[in-house]
Amino acid sequence: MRALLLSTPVRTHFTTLVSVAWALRAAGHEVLAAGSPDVVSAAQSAGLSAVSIGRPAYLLDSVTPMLRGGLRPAHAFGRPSPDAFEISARMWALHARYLLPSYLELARRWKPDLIVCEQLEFAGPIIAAVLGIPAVTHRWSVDPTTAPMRPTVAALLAGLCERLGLSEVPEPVALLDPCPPQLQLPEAAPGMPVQFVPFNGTGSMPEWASAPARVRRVGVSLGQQTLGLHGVPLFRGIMSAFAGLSDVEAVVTVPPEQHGEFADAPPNVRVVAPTPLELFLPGCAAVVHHGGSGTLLTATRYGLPQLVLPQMANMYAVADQIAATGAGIGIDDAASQDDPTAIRKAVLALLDDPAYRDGARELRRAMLAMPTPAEVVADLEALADRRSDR
Amino acid sequence: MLSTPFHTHFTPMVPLACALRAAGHEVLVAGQPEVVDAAHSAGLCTASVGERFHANDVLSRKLRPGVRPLQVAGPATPAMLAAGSRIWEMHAKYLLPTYLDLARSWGADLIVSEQMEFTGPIIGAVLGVPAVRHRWGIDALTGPTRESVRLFLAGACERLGLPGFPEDSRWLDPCPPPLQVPDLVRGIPIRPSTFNGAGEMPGWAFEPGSARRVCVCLGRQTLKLNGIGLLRGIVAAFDGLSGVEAVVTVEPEFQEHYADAPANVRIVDPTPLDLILGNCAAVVHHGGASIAMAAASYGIPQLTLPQFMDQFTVGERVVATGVGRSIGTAEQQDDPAVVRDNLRALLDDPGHERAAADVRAATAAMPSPAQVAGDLERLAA
Repeated sequence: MRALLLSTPVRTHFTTLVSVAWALRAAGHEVLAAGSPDVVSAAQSAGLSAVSIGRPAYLLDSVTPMLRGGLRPAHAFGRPSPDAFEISARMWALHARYLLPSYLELARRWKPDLIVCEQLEFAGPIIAAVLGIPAVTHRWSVDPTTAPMRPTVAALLAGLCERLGLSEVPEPVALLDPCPPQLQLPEAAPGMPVQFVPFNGTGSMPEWASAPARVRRVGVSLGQQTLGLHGVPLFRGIMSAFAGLSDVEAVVTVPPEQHGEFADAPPNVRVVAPTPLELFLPGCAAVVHHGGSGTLLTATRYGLPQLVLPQMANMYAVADQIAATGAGIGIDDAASQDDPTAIRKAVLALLDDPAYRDGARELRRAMLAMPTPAEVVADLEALADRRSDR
Repeated sequence: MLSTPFHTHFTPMVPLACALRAAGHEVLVAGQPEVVDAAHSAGLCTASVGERFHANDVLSRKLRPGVRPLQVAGPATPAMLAAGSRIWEMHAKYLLPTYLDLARSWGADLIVSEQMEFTGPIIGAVLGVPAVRHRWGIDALTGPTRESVRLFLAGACERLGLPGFPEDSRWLDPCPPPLQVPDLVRGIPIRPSTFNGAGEMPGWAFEPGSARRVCVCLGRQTLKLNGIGLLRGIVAAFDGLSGVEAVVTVEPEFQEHYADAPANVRIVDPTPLDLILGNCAAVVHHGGASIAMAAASYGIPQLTLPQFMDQFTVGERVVATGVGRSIGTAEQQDDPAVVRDNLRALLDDPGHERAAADVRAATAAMPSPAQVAGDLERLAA
């Protein structure tokens, strides 16, 4: 079987698909990714070949103009309103319309038996319907967007689908969901469970991570975007929250070129280059993160209590759900995120209150009970066969 | 997962690594920077151990300008194979303590090592965890090196409390049985991969082509080891072959030597084989273990022009099974007329196509890496 992977042009959107792609390949299937150069480089970093379609997306073009005067997205936008999802739906529906002809041409030439796309890549199900093959959509994690975006997306893609000879805007035949059920939003439609496998790029185990921590280690990883979007004061505040904590150390991932900004960090704060989470989270006692799906699920997989400081979009729902499951704390207002006292209080609660550890372990148990990507391949094979038999 | 410091020694284990990850297991690749690079290119995290190996210090040390290894040493004998592998026995002694510390502190439940990384079985025995050895493909080296490995590593093993080099490891064998060297210890079959790195699908790879397409790929070493002239001869052999077009992978730094290639030859940057081979009617290669397996997987007849070490055995097995042909001497390899005759025979003799189709069927019948990951899980349980 041949599986075509489609993703909107954001590295971390594509990364959602990696473990299923590996599983498909390990079962003897062919896998090819397609997307903008952002997707191509993300695919290649996971050992997957890709077809480059279109130009780089420069998605931050739609964020940075709103951040004048040193604002972070958390200040400028905060928790997304229903309108924000509406705007986002329009944007990704347009993306799908523009990319669809190239995707379709590729699919006609490469002849996939299955399309796997992430939750914002709305072109996938349409191409699949035109080709008469199944499409499955893979959620990133906590999914506050699929349901509210659907009406707008369907309305905006109706004409396109009609011109392609489709009687309706097709839905994916399955929605793969890496969230343990209790972590997912209650209002989100139930998906097909698939166990999360950590991948956020490759790297070598750093010296500090290979030795066991002498004190309780807290991993602080706010993703690839947060620091660059006026995040320096936020990082400084988080670091100063650790000052004077005697039996706790923080490991904070920061791109090497910005380490100079944090030369005065407290002695128990180690500023390190971005490192794959799978190499150092197992040695941590808690995690502070921005609510990115990969970090959320990796921390969950290792059973760690989490402090979530959401910065934009679906990250707020991640913070809500971590709090709701008892596996951690969310601090969603920007002013409190900037307050070292609030951060310190939350970190100490995560480390000292066994209820968070129990909550995190419960989530880990639920995650490990989900079928692995390797097991889900059989379901995907069945989906594709069923279609080809028609 | 452990590997000696060659990209191509590590790469045959990639499908298994992905299968283990997809089944929810943790995978850590340990090795020198060459292995680290290879693992990262496959999306795997690593522990970097030791310094860069700089293979060409070893491979090209005796070469005069313009002379390639085959012209100095001739086809490899079993004694040469054993001598050439001695370096990996020494490597094992040097790397063993570091690997062992790492395996202990990381808490490995299973060790997978490629066929020339002899530390794997030792570490497995010391830690009491299963160790499996992964062949590259056609395995010309294990037989000739066995005795030498046993003797050379005995002291290191004894100092770790083992009676000797553990020879009871299980093997994983990606080579379909008919192609494999006879008389080897049978391994657990694992369907070979066609993975040799990720890349971008080039536009021409989609075009079915009006002529029969032949892929020419001499690996990463041949050109560097004074093989520019060899490839010029191969390229010239396509001149005037009607109904045939060649796609020749050449690193950008060498492409200037092929500016005058015939019209039916397309010189391209190194491209993942799995993006090319699906549309090819034949493959010309240097007897590399991985490309031979990839060609077998696609059921494509192969012409090998071996240069050193185990590449000659690959050529012999290709000939013995009828899946292709081999040109074994430097003089014949350098004669475009000989190469052209072999290409014609490769493309026109239906026997090769039939044999290649048989091997493809044998390959497809082997368990997938995903299935083998399940077996290994039970082994490590």
